[in-house]
Amino acid sequence: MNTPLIVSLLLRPATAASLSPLDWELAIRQARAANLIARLAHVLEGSRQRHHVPADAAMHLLAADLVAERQRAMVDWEVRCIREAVPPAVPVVLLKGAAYTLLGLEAGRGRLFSDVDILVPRERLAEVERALVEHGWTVAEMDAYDDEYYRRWMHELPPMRHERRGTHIDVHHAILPDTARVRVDNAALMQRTVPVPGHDGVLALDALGLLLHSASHLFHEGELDNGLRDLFDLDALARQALATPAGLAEAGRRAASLGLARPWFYAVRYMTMLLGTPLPAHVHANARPGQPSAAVLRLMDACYRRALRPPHATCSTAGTAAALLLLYVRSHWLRMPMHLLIPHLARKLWRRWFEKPTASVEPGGADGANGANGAAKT
Amino acid sequence: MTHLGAETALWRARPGTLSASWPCADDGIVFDSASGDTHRLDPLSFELYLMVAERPCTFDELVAGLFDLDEAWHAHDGRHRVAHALRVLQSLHLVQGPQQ
Amino acid sequence: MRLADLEAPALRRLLARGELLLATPPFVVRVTSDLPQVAEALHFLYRDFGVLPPDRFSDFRVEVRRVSGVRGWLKPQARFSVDGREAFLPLPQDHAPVMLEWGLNWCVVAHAHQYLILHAAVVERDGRALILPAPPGSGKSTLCAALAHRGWRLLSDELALCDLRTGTVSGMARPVNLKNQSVELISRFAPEARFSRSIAGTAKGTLSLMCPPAEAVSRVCEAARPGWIVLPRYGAGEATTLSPIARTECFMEVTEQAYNYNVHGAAGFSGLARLVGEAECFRLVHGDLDAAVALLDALAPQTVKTER
Repeated sequence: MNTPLIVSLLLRPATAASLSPLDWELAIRQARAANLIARLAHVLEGSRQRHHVPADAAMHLLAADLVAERQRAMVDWEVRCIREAVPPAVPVVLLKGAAYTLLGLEAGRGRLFSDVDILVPRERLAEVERALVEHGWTVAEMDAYDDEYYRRWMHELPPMRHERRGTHIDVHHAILPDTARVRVDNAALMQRTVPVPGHDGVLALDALGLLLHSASHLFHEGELDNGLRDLFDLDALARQALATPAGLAEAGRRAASLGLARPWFYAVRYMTMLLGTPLPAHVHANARPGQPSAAVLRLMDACYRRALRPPHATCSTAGTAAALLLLYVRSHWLRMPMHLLIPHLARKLWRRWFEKPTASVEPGGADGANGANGAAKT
Repeated sequence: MTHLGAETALWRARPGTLSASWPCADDGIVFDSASGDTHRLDPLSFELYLMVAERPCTFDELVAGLFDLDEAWHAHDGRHRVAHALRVLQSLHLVQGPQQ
Repeated sequence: MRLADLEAPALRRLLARGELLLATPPFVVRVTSDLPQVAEALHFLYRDFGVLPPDRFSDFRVEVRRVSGVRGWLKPQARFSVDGREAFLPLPQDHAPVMLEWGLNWCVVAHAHQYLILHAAVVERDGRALILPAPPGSGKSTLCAALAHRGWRLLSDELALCDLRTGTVSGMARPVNLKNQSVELISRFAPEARFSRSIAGTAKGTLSLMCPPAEAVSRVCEAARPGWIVLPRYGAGEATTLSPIARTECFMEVTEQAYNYNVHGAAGFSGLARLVGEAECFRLVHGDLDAAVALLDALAPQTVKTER
């Protein structure tokens, strides 16, 4: 399996000088599919390769810069609004993209995302939902089954959308659902937080917490359209951590204590294998306790090698569809007990195979476009 | 209200706000970079915004700048209208008042 | 090379193989299609547009293909996809040409943030743009089609591309989308106007695509400075009036018709303020096409009469 062009370019931006117009077109197409176009723009900028980009391709990167900048400003405002809405006594902990961006982490540069993820204590969930509703958020429309699924079996409220601003929020109370086969120590995870600069009363997981949460999320996730982007997040988080005195020496131990040894093992393995992240030997050694059996590992290698690629026709190989399906089923298997899994999966897979795009191509004018607050695609 | 030093009794324009206006009209548009919102303001509100954007002002300075205070009637009505307009501007995140 | 230089069979082959690169400045689009309706429509409507070799960079790759399988046999349908990703509900095959138009517009609106993009018709005279921003149903396409045949150069019936750096406005001079009643109106108004075959049963009724005038296509790269912003409203039976409005009022309405105003932040605000400041702003209520065109014409009396 060859390395997708977008991955090579992101890992070795100096190759920009040798790309043809069609290469640039391919890189942009793959980047778009993988939600990495703003990252590409940022990496080329940072490594001073932007001048190698031909004018027509450069326009697409410029557009991506604008969207990323807009989303950064949007997240900043959105978190302010969330903190104002949620009662002061309830801690609000930022996760993922919102955390990377507001903490000024490298993983937040050139990051495209469509919602804000927060973590609140489980016992305050109802209170938080009420407060958000009072301040203009509503639960996204979904049928009773899905609503129940979120509340009972997932570790979050159903996604909510702000009526006026059109922004989305995902409120989690744990990083994995209660029904999961692995018991995660959510309370311990929430204990290690850092304040978010410029936002009084808003916290984020600490560097190691963000890394482990990202690993947990990626390697429990069934929908892998953003899988490669998430892997690049991991790579950026890991590299930034390695540049600190503490490094990643504690990662393996912390992962094990939280119940996240397995996803951390996968994170270390696939970051190294697919992105060449320069992790020192002791990090590999400390992650080893999370290693599965040889048979499982062979299967996971086959799956993730195929799945952690841009979801684009030029990056599909034999077995990609099977790999994605297997990981999809696995993600549900991890989240729920068997007697619930079969009917649930049956329903989900039915929807997935027969789900058609719901948008109409017929023009409806610009109405409401601005309500999406710059969450435009690039 | 406790006694406040002159500094803290000031109204200011929020950082990151921009305005636009054109000849032949007294109203104007203000943009807030933080929220991304754009607002069309009536002449009184727009004038207030421009005054505090130029430099922080106390409430009395704003009233004096806008209304003829010789007439007690105007003074009272003026104060009321300025207070209301400032509250609205504050709720729109365009200005910040004392104690903020 | 222009598309007209291609024989119909050659065009069909290029389309089937995904090797047709259509230049629609400022963009290049690679079009793939296995539908004769698409080939026919392109051949007619895009005859004056440039075609590029397939080894060039294209901004968007779009595919309009027949839907296969049982469903496809019962009710022939076409699907529109962007770079292989199906983006919208399939439509009847006969709708394929308008699907392509709408799909191309979607690509521009979704990605081309180097511009501030307005949902507006735009025409030009003497280097100044007459911009008609408005929601669907306002009659801007009909007005635009009429003006394009009365001494104004067509820039676009749908998307105004505003360059915030230079303050200029441009368009793609692509075919104009008209509803059935408008086609009759325009045919009477400008007998030289050419239309594709009509397409019945769309969500907007019966549609037809009007060929852009050749001169508009040849001058598509000429941008214009903002001249007039006119907010149109169609009022059947109402008197046709053109009234000046405050720029502040105009500004706010234009933001509502700007697809990506939010993406541009402060630069969008300042840029749009400059654009509005440079233009004269009006509101147009129109029920009679001739009267409306006369009023708009009077904004910029033609200084140069060109004999054709």
